[in-house]
Amino acid sequence: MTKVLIADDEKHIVDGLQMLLQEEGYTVDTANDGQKAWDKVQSGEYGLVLADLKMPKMDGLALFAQMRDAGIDSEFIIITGKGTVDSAVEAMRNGAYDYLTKPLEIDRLKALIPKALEKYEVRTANRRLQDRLESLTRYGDMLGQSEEMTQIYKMIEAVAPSSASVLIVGESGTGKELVARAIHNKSPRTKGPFVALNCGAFPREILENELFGHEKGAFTGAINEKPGAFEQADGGTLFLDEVAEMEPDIQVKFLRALEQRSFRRLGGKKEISVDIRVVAATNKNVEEALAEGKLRDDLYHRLAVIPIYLPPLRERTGDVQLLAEEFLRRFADEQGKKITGFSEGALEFIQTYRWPGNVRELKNAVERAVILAKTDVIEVRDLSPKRFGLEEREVHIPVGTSIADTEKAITLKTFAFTGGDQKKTAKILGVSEKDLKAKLQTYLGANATKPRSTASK
Amino acid sequence: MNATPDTRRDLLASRYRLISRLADDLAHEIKNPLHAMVINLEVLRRRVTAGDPDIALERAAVIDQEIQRTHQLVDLLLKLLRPERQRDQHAYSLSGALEEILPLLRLQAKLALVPLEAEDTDIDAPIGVPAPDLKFALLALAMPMIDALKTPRGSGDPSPLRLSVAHETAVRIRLQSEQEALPDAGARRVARRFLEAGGGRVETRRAQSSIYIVLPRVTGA
Repeated sequence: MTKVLIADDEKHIVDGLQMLLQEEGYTVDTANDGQKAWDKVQSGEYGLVLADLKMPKMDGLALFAQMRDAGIDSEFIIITGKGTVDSAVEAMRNGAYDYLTKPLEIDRLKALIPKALEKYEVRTANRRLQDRLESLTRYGDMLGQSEEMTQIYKMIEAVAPSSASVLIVGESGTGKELVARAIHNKSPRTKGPFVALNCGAFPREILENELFGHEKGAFTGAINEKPGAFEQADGGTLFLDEVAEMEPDIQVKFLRALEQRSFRRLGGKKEISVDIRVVAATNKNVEEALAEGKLRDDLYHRLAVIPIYLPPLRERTGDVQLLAEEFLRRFADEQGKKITGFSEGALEFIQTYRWPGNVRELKNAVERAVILAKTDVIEVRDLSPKRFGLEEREVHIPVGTSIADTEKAITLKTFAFTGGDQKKTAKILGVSEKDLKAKLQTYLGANATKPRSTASK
Repeated sequence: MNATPDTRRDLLASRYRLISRLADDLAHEIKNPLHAMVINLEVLRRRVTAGDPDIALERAAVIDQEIQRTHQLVDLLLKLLRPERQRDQHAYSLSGALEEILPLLRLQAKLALVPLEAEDTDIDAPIGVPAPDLKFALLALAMPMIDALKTPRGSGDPSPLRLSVAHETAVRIRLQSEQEALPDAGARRVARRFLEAGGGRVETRRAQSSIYIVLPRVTGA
């Protein structure tokens, strides 16, 4: 139990107070002057110091100031004659918990002590938590001990207990869902469901159905009623990823449901009330999404009650090696391979590469390296997509690319990959050599026999 | 006291200033025994209820001592506020005067967290200066010394103030401490005025960091 220190030079006062407080269940220690009190408080074991203002060697104010200078944050109550109340008030301005005037009001003392000790204990618990967070390498399913991630852990601890909406902003692969899950797991809703929905993965009509569910017969094929994500998450947390991908008219419906905590299923007439916490995420630049009207202002403000910015891996340099080693352990174990670590070159590559795909890319790279490694050490060649020729094998086709352009991109990239070997290219693409030749002539004209080093889309 | 009306007015004003400060300190000091009594009375109440007579009696004795202390403080306050009532009792007695002054000085020293060391204060001798005047003269010199010795924020170890009495051809009351703490000319003038009608004087010995009140020896009193 947290101890109380009584500092006073009057024996009768010290003895009497000690008896009283011990009877109230407190562990009490005493000091009969300011210097002795100072000697004792340095142990840091006192939650509360009850000190007379006037004491030999060091008065109460000097004791308090010295404690604060030394970072000893026990709560402090000054006992003073009325003539010195000004000094006590000054001490309170500097952070003393309270002051009591002589002669003492016993009931007031009895009321103050538990409050002061509670304040001390809450602060101490918070500090312990902060210290723990700062030394953490793992938090929930997240891994990282960089300053950036420590701040994220602290943020999660702070926001988890409330029901306020959270908007997580971060690039793809940074672990936004892990943050959402950590918020859920740390919250009082942890026993409730965690429902995740990727808004970017569904066309408009399906997303609406996924969010709100439908009644039987609501549309062709709705042969049974189906609860949506809102209902499924009742009593828990609804995580909506890629929220900026939601069509504007769905955003309106979503906002209404969010504000009223009630909605109607598609084809339904009954309002269904739910108790949910919404955690949303986006990999978009929010400012741009707002400016372009892709994300409604009102929805943004409703969602971003607590915004959390999840840094990309390149901004978490302190974490890259930690993550790579954890993934290595995990995948080596899964693959039953004895791999002891990374070569110096591989580590240098891991730490200098920008990892545009973030943690997901690093994880995949390490998994691939573990599979491909021929020795007990991962080398650069096992990791580097470029050195391994993977970049030459990949074609990036954004959504919205026409079929014709897609065909052109795949054809030219394959032609480049084979080093201009038409026979091989045709075989890989599954077309006849004649068809391929015709296409290449269309795409490359006179250069149809030579591959282009960089294929166009 | 053969004093001019102006001198009398000055003396009254000086006395009033000293009384005012001391009375204020005494009134607040009375809160300490009251504080101790309130706490120990609560313990006593609880111990009686709990059927623990030993502790209850012990606390009752503490309360008794604190009542005595309160009584003494009230007595001091009364003596300070109405010095004329003591004129007859210890009119020209050194020990009588010191008996009243020492508790007041101790209180001042305690409040300032300055150690007070008193030596040979039980010497008795007839003096030519009325006890109340000696009391105010001594207070006029000692109080600024205590103030000067006080350390900022009450921390550290302030130098002590030493008070001693010697009785040779004259009675010499010595206040000794650090040189810087010696009272200034204003305080010395006030003390001198209290003493001069009875033939007393103030002597400063800087080399000894001391100031003396010198009282002529009265024979056959």
